[in-house]
Amino acid sequence: MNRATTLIAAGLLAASAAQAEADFGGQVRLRVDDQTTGRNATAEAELRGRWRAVTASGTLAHAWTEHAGDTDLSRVNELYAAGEAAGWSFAAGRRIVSWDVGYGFRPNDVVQQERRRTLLPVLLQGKAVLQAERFGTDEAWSLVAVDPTSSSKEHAFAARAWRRVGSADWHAFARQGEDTGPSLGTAVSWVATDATEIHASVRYAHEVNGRFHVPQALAGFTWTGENKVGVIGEVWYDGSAPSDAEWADPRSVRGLFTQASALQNLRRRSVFVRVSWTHEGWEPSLDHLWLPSDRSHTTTAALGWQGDRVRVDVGLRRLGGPAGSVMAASPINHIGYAAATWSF
Amino acid sequence: MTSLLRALAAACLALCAWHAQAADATALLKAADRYRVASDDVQVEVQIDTTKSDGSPDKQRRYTTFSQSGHRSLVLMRSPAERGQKVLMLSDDFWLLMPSSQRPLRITPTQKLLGDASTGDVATMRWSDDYTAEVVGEERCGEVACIHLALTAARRGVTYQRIGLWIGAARHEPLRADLYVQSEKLAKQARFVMDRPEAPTTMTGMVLTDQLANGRETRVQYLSRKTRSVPEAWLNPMYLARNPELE
Repeated sequence: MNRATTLIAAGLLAASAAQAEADFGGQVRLRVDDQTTGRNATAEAELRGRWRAVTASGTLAHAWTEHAGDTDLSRVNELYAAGEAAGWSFAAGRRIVSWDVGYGFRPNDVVQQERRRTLLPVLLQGKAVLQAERFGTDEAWSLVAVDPTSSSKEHAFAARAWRRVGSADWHAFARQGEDTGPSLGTAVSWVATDATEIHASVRYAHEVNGRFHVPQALAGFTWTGENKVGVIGEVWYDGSAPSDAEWADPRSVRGLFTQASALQNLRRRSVFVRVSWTHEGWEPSLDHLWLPSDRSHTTTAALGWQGDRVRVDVGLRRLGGPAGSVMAASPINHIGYAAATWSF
Repeated sequence: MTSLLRALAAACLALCAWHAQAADATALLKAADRYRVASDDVQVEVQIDTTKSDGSPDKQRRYTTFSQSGHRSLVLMRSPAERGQKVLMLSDDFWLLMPSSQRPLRITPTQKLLGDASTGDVATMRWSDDYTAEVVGEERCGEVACIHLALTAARRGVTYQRIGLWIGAARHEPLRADLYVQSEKLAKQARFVMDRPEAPTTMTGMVLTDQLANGRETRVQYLSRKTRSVPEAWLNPMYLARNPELE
């Protein structure tokens, strides 16, 4: 995103702030990370505003990295115009479009394709889209044309249909990529009992990450007790991740690690469990990602505190596993973090 | 034969008395509801102040609630720390919508209990929509005579499975309530605040004491109320996920 566009977005935000009736807000966050490769500190401001039919959000950040010095970042997360005509809702511009029902993995997040399981919630950077949507009482249709971005270098067309059937939400997804071809998917989220929600998602894609005829599937549940203890459990299969045979071949391992940042999953099978407790503004949580193929794992312990406007988060993520496993071979084996966020 | 007729007559009288009491209880509950909202479709601005266990101020939150006929409610969160979040409740189905996402999350009835004042506390405007009532008896509530009603959930998705409600004997204004969750635990106790205690016309707020969290107090204030029917689209979770302007 170039500086001119950032300035335009900042101008819109300022204009919206000047309007008494404008919807304007944001947050400032200070964050410190301590990981195997060194220490980092970031100060960032997220600004969100709406002025008439235009919505904008942007991030301004200054980062200090132990071995790389200071860097400045300015980014437009969203900048789009929205309106309604002839029973349809339209939007055009850079916009966040998150789909699917899972937490640890979302096979059918075919527009945004966001990274999951970040240590802290981050404001995503939207995609350049043209969007048309129609809504009924218990159903909705969404059509999206996606322009290439740095993370998705192809034109694509995506569609989602949603229908509410009693205590279940049913979704159907389709995507046609200029280079990667077609994919089809479906997902459901069902509230089974007063405390339990069950969800599942499946997708079949012609091509993902250079792999062909790719199946992806996820099944999981959330449970929340009256004592405010919450549990998320999920298992998933990602056919776009490297196979066991590829990881077993010493000639391909180095190449796989260089691709790692672009992969949603390092191994095809994953098991994820998260337990949290909400009590008087405090939220301790513990999550564990286990890769049964090589018994490697990632464990994150975190503690959050939400005050009136200030939120404080601290946590530690450790990666490990037997010798030769992907997590054991990762250059980063621990990340400690602390962050303070002020909302306005 | 005579004894059979007597037994039949007694059974008829008991049945008639039970019907009359049930009708009385329902009428009393509707009368109490009139102090909360006067119409089916209403917009209410709500402010919630929570205190810590030691009584010092903790958090303040602002909400806009649209309560519509047919057990439909929409809660918009207005405070900086929650701005843009929404909760939609359609009968027994609930969704949480986070800003900057197009993913309405299905949430369970238990998840509505999270937070100092649960979403159910903020959005529930009429007991008579959600509960069946029974008169337990007449009691004293401090200085005034009051009627004790036992409310039992008539629907699956309500926040509290059972409520003990005390209303004024003369004007039927809500005075206090004991709120029980599914497991029969006493979750909260409510004390209702009226505009004019000597001649009440409107409930202006309530004070909730959390029995599951060290007796923390939550003060709910109804800042304004107005009759308002919202467009049908506002009650579709996917429409809300577009993050539209709702004013």
